[in-house]
Amino acid sequence: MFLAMFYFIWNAIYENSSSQTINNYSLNEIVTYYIVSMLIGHFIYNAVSVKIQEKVMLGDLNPDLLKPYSILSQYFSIEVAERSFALIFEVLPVLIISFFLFGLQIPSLFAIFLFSIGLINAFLLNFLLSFLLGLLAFYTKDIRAVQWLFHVAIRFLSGEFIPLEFFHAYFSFAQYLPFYYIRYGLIQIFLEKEGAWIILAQIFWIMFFYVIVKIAWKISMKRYGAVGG
Amino acid sequence: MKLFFGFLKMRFAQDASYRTNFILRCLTLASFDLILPFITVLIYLNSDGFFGWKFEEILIFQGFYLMITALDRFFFQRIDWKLSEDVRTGNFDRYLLVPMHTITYMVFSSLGVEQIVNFMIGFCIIIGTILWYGLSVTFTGFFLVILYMLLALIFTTALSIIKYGIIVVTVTTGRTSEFFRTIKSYGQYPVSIYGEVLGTIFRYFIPLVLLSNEQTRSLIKNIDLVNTFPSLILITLSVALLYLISVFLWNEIIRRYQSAGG
Repeated sequence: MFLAMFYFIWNAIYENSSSQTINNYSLNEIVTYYIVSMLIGHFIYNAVSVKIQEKVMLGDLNPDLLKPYSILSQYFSIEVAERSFALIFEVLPVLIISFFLFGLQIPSLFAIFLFSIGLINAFLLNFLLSFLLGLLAFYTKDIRAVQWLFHVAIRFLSGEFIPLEFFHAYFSFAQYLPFYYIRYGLIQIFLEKEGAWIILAQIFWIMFFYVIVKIAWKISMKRYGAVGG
Repeated sequence: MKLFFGFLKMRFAQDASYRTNFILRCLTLASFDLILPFITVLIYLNSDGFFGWKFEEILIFQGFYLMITALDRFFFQRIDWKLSEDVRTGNFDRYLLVPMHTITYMVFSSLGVEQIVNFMIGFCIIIGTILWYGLSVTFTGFFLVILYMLLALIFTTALSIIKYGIIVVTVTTGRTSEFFRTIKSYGQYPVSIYGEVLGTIFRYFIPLVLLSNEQTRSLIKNIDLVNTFPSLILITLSVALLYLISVFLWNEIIRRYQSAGG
């Protein structure tokens, strides 16, 4: 239903436009942009920051700490399992419906290949960012408002609501942020406007945040005092 | 009214105990809701926009949408998750024992006071745009806006009652709330963009035009009362019917409701 709404909005804008393209996007490309954006959103979603916060607040983190593998890998496994489920029940239906109803533009096989790798990287990057955000729970009582603000920023600067070209120069800094590679860069691969360098940039950010998460976790653990301990 | 203000005072007192979190919550909500007007501004900066809607008109449109959405959330948003949880755990039975209408109690005890900020932002967008562009507002236009705002409130109440009924029956919230939210989001843009068939549905059957379209048209498009009268009557009838259906559904659901105890 959301896709249909975006379709109507952009259809009306293009019908009223004197040009066939707006910011180098044709109607078909902009519709594809929103479809792919939605697919990425379903695929990369995770609730790890909320889970960490709840566990820290309620003192439920202790059993996880006693398990013979790291918290990072525990939560990662849970999220992978949940997203695999979502892939079948959320991503695939959207893909099929979009193809038949909204004329999803299918790219070349090479672009699909790059996009698939990029999608996994985007999931990893988003997971690491959320995990890092969840660690804030060790320092503040309630991080829900900060989480919400952070998610708004991610969604906004990753081009979920509107392609970043529409921001003109005001938001050109967005391309230097990791959020750019979570969604917008990937959509550009799908539209065959960008190539493999997006994947390389994603790998750089994943490595960067992996190190940060490891350091932040160690510092947080030094602060953590479990109930009864 | 006395009860309403009593509950409102209580809610303010509760939120005042966690002031920082409350302020942060207001800010985050406001920042999220400001995205829509901002995107609209970007669309208009990059294209010719929607046919028949100038930039300043669409800004006022977004202002009204923010105000009505804030009102809707002020009364109804906090209930969804709590209701589902209470039905699941059997706590819903307590609501039925309270000496006032169940929905009134649910609404009054779950007021979302942080929405006042969004309401004010919407109001400021409208006033700011009118002053900046020197738009003229007639008394008839103002009168119609008030009338449509009241109808919008009844319309959102009806939708919420239907939603609560579904939640009580299905004991799930996620998808039900999302479905109603998505339906309402169609009111974010002028109804003319949805084509003739959907446009008629959104005007007379599920009057989403009340979420902003009609208020904006009345305020700045110099609509005269005689021409808009037939449409106003049809929309009013549609809202009244929807409200009656929602109350009937709710009463039926409550009549058939079996508490956790059987």
